[in-house]
Amino acid sequence: MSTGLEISGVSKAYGGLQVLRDVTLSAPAGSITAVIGPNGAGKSTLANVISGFVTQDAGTVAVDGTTLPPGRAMTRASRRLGRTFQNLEVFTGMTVLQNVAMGAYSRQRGGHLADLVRGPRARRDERAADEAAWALLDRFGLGGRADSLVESLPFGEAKLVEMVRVLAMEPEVVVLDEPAAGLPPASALPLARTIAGMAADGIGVLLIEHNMKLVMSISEHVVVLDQGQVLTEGTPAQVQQDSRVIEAYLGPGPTTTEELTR
Amino acid sequence: MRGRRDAAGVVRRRRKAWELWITIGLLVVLPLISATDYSLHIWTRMAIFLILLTGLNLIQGVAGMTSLAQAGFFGLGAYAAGISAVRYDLPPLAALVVAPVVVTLVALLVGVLSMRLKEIYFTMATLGAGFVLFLLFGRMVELTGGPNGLVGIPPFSIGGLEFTEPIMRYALVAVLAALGAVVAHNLLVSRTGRALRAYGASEPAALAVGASPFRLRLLAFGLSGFYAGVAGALEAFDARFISPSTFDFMTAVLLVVALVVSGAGRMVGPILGALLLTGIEVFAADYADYEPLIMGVIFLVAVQLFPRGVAGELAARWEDRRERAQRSGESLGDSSAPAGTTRTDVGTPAMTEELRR
Amino acid sequence: MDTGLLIQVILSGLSVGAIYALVAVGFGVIFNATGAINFVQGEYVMVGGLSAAMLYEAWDVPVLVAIVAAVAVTVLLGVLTEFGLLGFGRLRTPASITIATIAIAVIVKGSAMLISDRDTYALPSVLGTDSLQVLGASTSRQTVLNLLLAVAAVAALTLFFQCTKLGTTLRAAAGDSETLQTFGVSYRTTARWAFVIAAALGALAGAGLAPLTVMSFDSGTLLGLKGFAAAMLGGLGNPRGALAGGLLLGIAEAVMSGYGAAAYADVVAFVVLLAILTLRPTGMFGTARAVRT
Repeated sequence: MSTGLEISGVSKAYGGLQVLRDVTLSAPAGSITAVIGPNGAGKSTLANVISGFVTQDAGTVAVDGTTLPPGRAMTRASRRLGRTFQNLEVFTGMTVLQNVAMGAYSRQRGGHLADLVRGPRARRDERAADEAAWALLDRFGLGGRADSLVESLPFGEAKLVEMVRVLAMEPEVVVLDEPAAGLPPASALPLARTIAGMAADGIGVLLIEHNMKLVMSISEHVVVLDQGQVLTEGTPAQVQQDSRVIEAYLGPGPTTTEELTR
Repeated sequence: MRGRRDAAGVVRRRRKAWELWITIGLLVVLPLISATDYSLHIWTRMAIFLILLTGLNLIQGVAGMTSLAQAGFFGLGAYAAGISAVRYDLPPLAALVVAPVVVTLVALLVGVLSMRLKEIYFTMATLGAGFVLFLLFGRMVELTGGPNGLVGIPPFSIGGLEFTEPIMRYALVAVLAALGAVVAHNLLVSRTGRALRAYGASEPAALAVGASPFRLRLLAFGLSGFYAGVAGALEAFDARFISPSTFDFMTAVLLVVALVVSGAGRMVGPILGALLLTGIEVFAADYADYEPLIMGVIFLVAVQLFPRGVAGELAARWEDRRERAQRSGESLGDSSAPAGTTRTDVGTPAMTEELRR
Repeated sequence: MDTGLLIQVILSGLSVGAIYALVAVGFGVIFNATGAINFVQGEYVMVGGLSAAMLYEAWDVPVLVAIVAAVAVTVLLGVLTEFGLLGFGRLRTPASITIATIAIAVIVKGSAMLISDRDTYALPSVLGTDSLQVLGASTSRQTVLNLLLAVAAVAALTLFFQCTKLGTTLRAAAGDSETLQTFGVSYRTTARWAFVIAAALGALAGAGLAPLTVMSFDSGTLLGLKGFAAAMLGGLGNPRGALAGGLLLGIAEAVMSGYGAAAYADVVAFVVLLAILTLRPTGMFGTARAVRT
């Protein structure tokens, strides 16, 4: 079994601003690890470093023991690392099925020139990708939407499509960048189920999230990031008791995490 | 079109090939409508434009990057074929192979240099490349015949068979145009075509699923050059005389405009655009003075009215209607969702409990 | 080496280069306001030069009056361009605006062809025909005037961008209409002013070009594209860069012509365009702007 995601000693500065400072954490396979922290803590930069959109100044990111080349987003799919984006990133102009199939293509080999002829092998691959996409869409209740253009879907469903697309990559590790952002409260439950389902499938999930309620309810391990550093980590219960966390979020004062999770 | 379910219960979506069939059908039907020497000449022009636009559609329509190099590539193909035949006595069949190869190589070179630029700068780079080629056609007099053009190009021939009859000349161009349409259709519906579109829709997401933008776009641009090379060679052997003015900036603009107006990115775009360009050419023979003005007005009106192109706009409206029909069908209880759709409860009961609190 | 010839070459390069610079500044103004590349820019030069020359030749209007009238006509064309592009509220992206400017350029050129009946027209220099002796080389006084015109235009625009409220918003716009809203200025108003300025610059360039050559309906297209190459060379949207880029390009072309490769002089601009896009797309003096994906 995969050992999941391991991040060690990652630092990143923009100009004089140190956004990440020696961040070390791991997201083991089959469980949900959350990264929380106030705005500007460096959560999004961390997601971008892991997924290769930002090159770190120091430190390594590894999946299943293999170190990933820094700053090369395109290589992540072949290392079985998938991610979603804080702002919805779907392929507009394409159907839901085609969106999800894009994820499945990343598991296939086969040259672009072969696609000009579209011989039996290319067709077989296309069919396999479509079938994999169908299966996932059915599983997540999107079967009825398969032929709709993705931009015609409500926001919540489009978010789900993005997640299903990642699953079609058959990833070992998934990085979710603020999946609850912009979702109506009613969508929280299906979202939590989907995320929990990923972990149940053996995927190492790194949940980068603002929504404390979601984080505390489904994560096994919580890492608190503040000003680019790991402030503390532990089980949700441990983190909730930690006064430094409360301070980081709300500033000093007699507050409990009860308020945060309400 | 809801698609059908196969034995395994998987819904199959029928591939939309009707646009390809329209293209091929038209190529077959046109000479049946009228086969006079003059109309065959017109149909041949139309088919050459079709090849040019099919190539342009790959980079302009599918990859979403406007190329103003297509006229220059067209000219390069024509001169490569013409010069091979006239100056180096290459057999026409060999020249027809040489031309696209030369153009593809040049297109790949231009592509490697400019492909990482943002869309608008890429367009200007292709404009520069097209203009350099156009200027060279007129200036390298020894090789190209200069502004007076290259004369004495033989008709196309295979072995001893000369393609001088109008119907033969049309058949040659039409067969290659149809072949080109099939290849373009394959690319469009394949993984590669989807990846190209995906990249235009969301760059980060396309990167995240491992699609290589540089390679994909370079492929599309190289192919657009290949098509232009074939079209150029056919132009040289059909007209048997070529001069730089055929491949000027205005032609580059007209090609882009015809495609954008007709519907870039769709398979019917090139055929509609080719009909439009041919119509303009026929019309311009009589009203040469008014042509640019009228062209410009039509172009502006079309761009303002149909930003997605005429075909694109109509198709989008049709798909909207289909979508709405489908929705209302579902609300009436006609849900054809499969039994598996309810399998979303993969979370633990404890977690659900917690969330409901 | 014959220094007389060299100076002669440089002077003629500066003369044409000043025109390129004016065109390049015009591209920059529109680019900053809309993010688009205005293919009509070269046609403004044609309209300015051609209408001044036509007024002078066909109706015996005094040169200066003809130039003022030509600038007015071109500015009106600039306002019409803006309306043709943005008046319908449908074009939003720089790419679609750029495509539409090509359409308008074709319309302008087609109309000029009909109005001028494909004839060519000439305009004498305001400064008369006397030539000027500089370091043993002779040049027309128009050269000096063109240089002054280009430098004055760049200086005026630089001041305008930095010191006036409208100038600041025009500079701030650079395709960022949200910033504009906070200034309380609408995108349309900004764009209209940008087109007025760009058209006026084009008309001045046309009036400066006409005495050096003859004007016809197709004088604009190639000139416009060369002006764009100059703009890229100096950094698109940067007036001082445009001046440097224009003069450099003019000299490079003149050197090619003066030393035996006249046939390939026109190619220089496009090779420069390709090279600058490939090697340093922000231009020699361009501020860091995202031009690569």
